[in-house]
Amino acid sequence: MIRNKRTGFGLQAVLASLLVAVIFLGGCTTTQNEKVYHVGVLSGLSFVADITDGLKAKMTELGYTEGKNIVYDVQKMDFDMVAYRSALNKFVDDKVDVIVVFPTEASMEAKKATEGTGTPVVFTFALIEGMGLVDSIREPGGNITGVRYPGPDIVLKRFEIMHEMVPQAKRFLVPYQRGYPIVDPQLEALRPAAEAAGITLVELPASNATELQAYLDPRNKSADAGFDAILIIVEPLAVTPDAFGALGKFAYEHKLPIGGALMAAGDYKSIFGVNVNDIAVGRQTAPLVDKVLRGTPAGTIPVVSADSYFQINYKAAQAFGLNVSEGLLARADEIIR
Amino acid sequence: MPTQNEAKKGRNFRSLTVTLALAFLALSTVVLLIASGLELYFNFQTQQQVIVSQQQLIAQDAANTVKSFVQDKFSMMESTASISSMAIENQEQQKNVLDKLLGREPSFRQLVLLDAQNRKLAEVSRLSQSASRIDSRLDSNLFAQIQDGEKYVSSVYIDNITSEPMMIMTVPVKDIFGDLKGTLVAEVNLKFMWDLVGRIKIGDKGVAYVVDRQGDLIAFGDISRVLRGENLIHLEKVNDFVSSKGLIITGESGTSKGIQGNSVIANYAPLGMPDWAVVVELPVEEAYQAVAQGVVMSALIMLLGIFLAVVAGIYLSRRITRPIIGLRDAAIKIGQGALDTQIEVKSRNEIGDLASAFRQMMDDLKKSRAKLEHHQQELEKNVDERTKELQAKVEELQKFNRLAVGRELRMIELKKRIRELESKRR
Repeated sequence: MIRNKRTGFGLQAVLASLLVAVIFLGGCTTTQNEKVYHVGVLSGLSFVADITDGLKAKMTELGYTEGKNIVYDVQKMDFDMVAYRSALNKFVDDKVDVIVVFPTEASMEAKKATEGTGTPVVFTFALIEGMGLVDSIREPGGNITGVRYPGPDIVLKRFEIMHEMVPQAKRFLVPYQRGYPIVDPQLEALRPAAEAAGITLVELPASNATELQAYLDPRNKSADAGFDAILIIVEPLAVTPDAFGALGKFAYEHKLPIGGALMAAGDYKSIFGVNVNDIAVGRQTAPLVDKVLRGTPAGTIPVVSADSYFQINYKAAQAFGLNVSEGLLARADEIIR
Repeated sequence: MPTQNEAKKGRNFRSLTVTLALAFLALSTVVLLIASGLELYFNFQTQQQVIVSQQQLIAQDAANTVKSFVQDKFSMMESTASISSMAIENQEQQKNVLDKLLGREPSFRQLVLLDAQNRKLAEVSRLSQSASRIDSRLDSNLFAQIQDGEKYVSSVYIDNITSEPMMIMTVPVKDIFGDLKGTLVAEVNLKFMWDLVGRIKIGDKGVAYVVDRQGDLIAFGDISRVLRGENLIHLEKVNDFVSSKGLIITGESGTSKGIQGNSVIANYAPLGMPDWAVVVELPVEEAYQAVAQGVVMSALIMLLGIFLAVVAGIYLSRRITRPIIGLRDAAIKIGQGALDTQIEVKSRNEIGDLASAFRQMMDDLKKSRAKLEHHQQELEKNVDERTKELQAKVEELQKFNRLAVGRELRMIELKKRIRELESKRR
């Protein structure tokens, strides 16, 4: 019998087409290597080092698992411009995907260190007013964005609360790190407010705790210390254990309330603190880091403002014999008893 | 004699098997396409109605969530204004009450108590006094709005320092007789609404956001866009809200461009008070996921159907044409003289009848041929016999002829002898 070859037409082709279609419709499952992001974190002030914990916690919620798809290179230090620069240069050399940096001075150094390198910077706990860190809140420009520290307002709030808690005090000692860039704008904001309230500011620039101690020692023997309360502004010296230890000891011995930043060194504690919540700020920073890692140019991401956080150490206030009003207690975000 | 293939080419041959298979495939495909198309169409219509209903519910639910944020603030302010007798307390007591209210609700940035003549009685703030910016908001426009003793919500404005959206809320402060004694004013930071809106779940990849009557974005999961002060009036649904007057939720679910630039199915629900709307968006691919799955399933079924149609078409066409091909091949062989060719067609149909007739024809042909051969043999035999007879007669004739010729020659000889004898005698 003669076989008609035409009857076997295209069967293979049809089967092949069907197979292709099934594969196409079923989708091809291919595994892609997930990118591992490298984040350099310059923790430039141990007083607020918990920011890193808040950052990591929120990053985890956003889908970044440390060691799996994100690696943090955390460089911890206190105010030291040389060390800041060294850590930042290392980040740039390592070609990290983003640098997270705090506080203000380290952030300014980060802006300088990354210029022209393409490494994005997300600052946090940084004062931006008058610092030249960003062009504007809405359009930071360059390759930088971050979480703004509401510095000038916080220092004024510290002043107002101190005045409210210790209304009889007319002279506030204001110790600060000599030459620290963000101090001047605060003092400029503080001076007219103090003048309006009839308060004298006793400004005390110092390079370290030893200098502070040297200032306080002669006043130990004097009946009048020369000030009625100690106001800690936003700066890195008074919040170091040694410096606060010296200030706290003097304050407790002379019954001079000390407050502004919530601190404790041994038995010496400040009566209140107005600051931003470290963990909350870290968490606020994470979505910005996430956007940068997803490819959004940092300079186009608006700067976020941190909220102030008011804490009262009621026990310390009582130790100084202060009567804290119900209204002030009601306004506090946290009361330590 | 031309070959079979040459003959096919010469006649522009088209295989009946192919024709039948193609016809079967075409018919099956058309039926499948029509059936799948109708199924998809009705599925799409149903899905679209489901999406519209779901979107409306989600939008309304989201709107209620946002509205409750504002209503909670009003409730707190009204409770404070009524329970604490703010209208008759002294300034220190009034400040204490405001302090407590400020401490209780983090979204209140500043609180101000005004008397009936809109003079400031007490003020508390999370900001320092020098940073307080509420005074610029306490103007004649605001006073005109609150003079009738009703609750009031201002339009949203952006804080110059933080770029955060803020608004003013007021409630009347009345004494026990219900007489208006003042107004409690709160500056509310709407960033505390961001988390609330960010948590609203719209499918897997859907989003919800809040816009005001100008189309300005005031709450969205991506806060950087809010801080940028984006106006979204270019988005269809936002534009619908801005252009509309009432509180109607749209019932359409057409595709439009979403806040993230993708194609979405969007809907919105106005809040009424405040004059905002919550817009919910669901990516088209997610909204129509069920339809897409139906399309894929239908396509797979259709492909399977086509495959089966091809197989069945080939099988059936072969089954139909095989006897015909058998007959054709047999005819070719028979034509070449192979009369013993077997026709193996056992179909019980017209082709079977044809094969039987063909076989009968073959038998008849064979019989005729045998008969013919027999006649031929007979004829040959007769011819042989006749030939032999004829040959014998020819030989006989030849013999006779020889005899006759001899006699004639003898006669001629004799006559010649006679004449010679006669001449000699003369």
